[in-house]
Amino acid sequence: MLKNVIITGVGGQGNVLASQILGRASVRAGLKVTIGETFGLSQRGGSVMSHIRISDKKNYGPLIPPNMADIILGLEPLETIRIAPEFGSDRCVYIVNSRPIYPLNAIAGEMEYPNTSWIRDVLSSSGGRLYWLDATQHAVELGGPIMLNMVMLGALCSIGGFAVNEEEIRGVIQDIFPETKLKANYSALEMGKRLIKEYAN
Amino acid sequence: MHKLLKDAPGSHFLLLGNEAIARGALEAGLAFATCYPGTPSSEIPEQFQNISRETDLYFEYSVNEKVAMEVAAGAATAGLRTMVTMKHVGLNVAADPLMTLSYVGVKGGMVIVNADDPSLFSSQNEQDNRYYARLSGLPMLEPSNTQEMKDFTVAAFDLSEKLEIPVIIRTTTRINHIRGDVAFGALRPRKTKDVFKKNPFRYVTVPAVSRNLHKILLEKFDKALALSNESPFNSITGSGKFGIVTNGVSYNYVLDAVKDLHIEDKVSILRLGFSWPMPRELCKTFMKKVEKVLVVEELEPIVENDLKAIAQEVGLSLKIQGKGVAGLSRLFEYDPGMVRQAVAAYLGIDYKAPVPVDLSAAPQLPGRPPNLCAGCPHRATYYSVKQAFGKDAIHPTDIGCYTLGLLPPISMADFLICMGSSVSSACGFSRATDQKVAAFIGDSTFFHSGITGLINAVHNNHKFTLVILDNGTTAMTGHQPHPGVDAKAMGLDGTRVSIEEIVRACGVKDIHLVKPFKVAKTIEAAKAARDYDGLSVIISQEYCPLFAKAIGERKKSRPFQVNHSKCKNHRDCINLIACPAMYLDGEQVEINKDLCIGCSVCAQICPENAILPLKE
Repeated sequence: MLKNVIITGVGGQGNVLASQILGRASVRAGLKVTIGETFGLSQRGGSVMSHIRISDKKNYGPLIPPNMADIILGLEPLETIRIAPEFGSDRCVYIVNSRPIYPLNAIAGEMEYPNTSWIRDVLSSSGGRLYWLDATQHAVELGGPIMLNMVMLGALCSIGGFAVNEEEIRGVIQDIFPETKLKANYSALEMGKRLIKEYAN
Repeated sequence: MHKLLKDAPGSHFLLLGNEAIARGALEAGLAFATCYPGTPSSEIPEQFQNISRETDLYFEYSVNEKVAMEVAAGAATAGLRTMVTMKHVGLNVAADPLMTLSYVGVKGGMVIVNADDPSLFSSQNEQDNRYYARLSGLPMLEPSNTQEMKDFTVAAFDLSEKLEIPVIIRTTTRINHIRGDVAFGALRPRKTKDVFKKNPFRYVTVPAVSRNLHKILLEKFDKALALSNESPFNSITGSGKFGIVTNGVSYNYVLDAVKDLHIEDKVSILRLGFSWPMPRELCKTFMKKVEKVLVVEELEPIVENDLKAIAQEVGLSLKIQGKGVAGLSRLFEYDPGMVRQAVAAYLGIDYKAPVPVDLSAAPQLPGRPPNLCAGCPHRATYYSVKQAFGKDAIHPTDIGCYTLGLLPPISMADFLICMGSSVSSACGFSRATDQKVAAFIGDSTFFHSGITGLINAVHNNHKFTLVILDNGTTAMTGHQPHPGVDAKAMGLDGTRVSIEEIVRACGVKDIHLVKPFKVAKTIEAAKAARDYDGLSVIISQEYCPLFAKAIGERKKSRPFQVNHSKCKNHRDCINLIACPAMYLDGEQVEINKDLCIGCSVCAQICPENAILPLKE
C-alpha cells in the first residue's frame, strides 16, 4: 500500500502542523511515512506544500512523482489549482477549502485572483473526485480560521479507504495539545467528517 | 525531557531530518557542539541548544563558521566527541581551518555537517560541496532518508575516531527537511572532559611538521578507501544490465522511477552513501556487470567523471552518462519527474502517466512572493535612508531578511556576494565612483564578518555610510542569538557585546543611534551621516516583531486604520513602503487590522495625517 497525499496552502494556515499530525498518526499506526515540505523564504503568506507518503512497506522519497498524488488536500483554492497540473490526475481525490486568501499582488490590483468557480469546474471535470467545502466558514464558527487544518484533517480521514483512521489522529491530538484545547480540535475533526458526509449526499 | 533524549531503543518516532542527525550525534555520545546557523542546517543546533539546558552537553552559537570549526577542533583534539554544523557557503568561511585540520586530525570523533542548497531555496549560490571532501581529503557520507541521517551520524563518529580525522556528512535541503519515522538506537554516555596531551610535531603546523602530516593524511585516505569499498552504505541492488549510479536524495527518485516504469528486472543500482573516497573496487565490480550506466546526481558531474576515470583504468568502454540525459543538468535540484523521464529516455521505455489536469485555458496565476513582514523595522529604516540618500546612491547589502530590500518599492539593494561583503565592497565602490554609498548589514552578520571590513574602512580612510540594522536577533534563520543579543531576555547566560562599543573601538568617529519607527529623527540622522566627510555609521535599533512577540517583549500597540474623510488618495503609504498589512479596496487604501502591529510608520509619512490608531 502507498498513499501519496499533498497538503497545500498558504503559510500561516497550519499546513505544516496538519502534515505532522498525519505523519505522527501514521507512525502510531505502525506505518512507514515520509514527509517533504516545500516553502519559500517568507514565514507567512507564502505558498506552502507538504508531500506525505504513507506505506505499510517502506519509506518513500520526500517528493511525490508528477501526477501520482492520490489525494490533494487544498487549504486554499489558488494553491490547489497551482499544483494540480503537476501532481493531480484523473485518479486523484481533491478535498478543497473554497475560501480564497488573496496574495499581495492581487490585493494591490496588479494581478487577478482566478474565479473560484472556474477552479471548481477545472477540478470537477478533471476525472478525479472533488469535495469542494466551505471549511473556513465552519472553522470560524468553531473558534477561528486556526481550526481550518483540523476540519480538513477530519474530512481527509472520512473519504473512505484512507491509510490512517480518525482514532489515530485523535491520539496524536491528545499527545500534542493541552487538555483545554482538545474539545475544540475534536469538534473540528467531527465537522470535517460531517462536511464530507453532507457533500456526498 | 527533550524528545531526542528518550532512552527507547527500538521505538519509532517521527523526526525532521535535522532532528535525526541530532539524535544520531546523541546516540554516539556527543559532548560538544558548535555552529553558525544557516538554512537548511539550523534545526540541528536548535536541538542541541535546548538539550544543553537539561544535560551536560556543551553547545554554543559561535560568531561565524570559521570560529565554530576552530572551537570544535580544539575540543575534538582534546578528546571529546564534537559536532559542527553549517550551510554550504558557511564551509567556505570555515575552509581555512578545515584544510589544515585534516592534516592534524582529531582524537575525539568530530563530525562536520554540511548542508548544500541545490535550487538556492535560501542561499546566494548552489555550489556542490562534495568538492570539499576531495579538496580536504576527508571522508564524506551522504544519507538519503531520516533513518539514515540518524544511523550515518552514529557511524560517522566511529569512523572519525578510527581514522583520527573529521568526517563530513553532506545533506541537501530536501534531505534536511524530510520528516520520517526513525527507529531509535541506544544512547551512549558522554565524555565531557579529557586531558590534552601535548604533541607539537602533530599539532603545530609549521612547514616541517605539515610535510609529514600531509603524508599521514594520504595514508589515512587509503584506509578510508578500503572502508568505503566494504561499507554497507555503498550497495549494489538488482541484477539487470542497465546500471544506475546515484547518491543522496536522488536515490529516492531513482527507486520511484524504477517502480513506476516497472523495470525492476532490467536495472542494477549502485547507491553511494559513503561517497568519498569513491569505493573504486565496488564501482569496478558494478561496471563490469552492466552494459551502460546512467548517473543520477544533483549539481556537478562528480561521480560521473570519477566513474569514467575508473572505467578507463580497467579498460572498460561502456557508455557512462549523467548530465545531458533528458532534463538532467548541472542546474538546480532534481525531482522525481525529471529522473523518471531520464531513466525512461536512457533505457528507451515509453511511459504513460495518468491524465493530468488540463490548465491550458488558465489565466496567469498570481504568485506569493516573499516580503518583509508587517511592522518590520527594516522597512522603516530603508524608507528614511532613501529620503536622505535619494535614488542614485549605491547600496551594497548583506545576508539576512533585509536583503528583501531588493524588491520594489524599496529597491535599495545593489550588490551582494557573501556575508560581510556590504562593508568591504562599499570601500571599493566609494573609491571607484563619486556616488554616495550607504551599505546595509544586519546585527548577526556584522558580528559574523562585518567587523574586519569596518576596521579596513577606518584604517584606509574610506568614506561611506554603514547602516547596521540591529533587530536584536538572527531573524532569518529562526531567531538564534548572536553576541549582541540581550542574552538575559532570551534566558541565556552569554555576555552581551555592544555593537556601538565595537564600532567606536574600531575608530569610527561619526556614529548615529536611531529608533527607525521615529521617522523624522531617523531621516535627520541619515542626512547627517550622508553629509559627514568620512566614514559614518548608523545603528538602527528595533526588535524584529516576530522575535519580540516570541520573547514577550512586544509592546501593545493599537493597529492603525485609514480615516476615509481625511484620505486624499496620495497613496504614499502603499507606494513608498508597501507594508503587507495594506490593501486596496476598490480605490481606497485600507489596513488589515489583524496584520498591523501598530508601528505607526505609515501614519508618520501620510501627508494628510489620515492614518490613525483604531478606536477601541
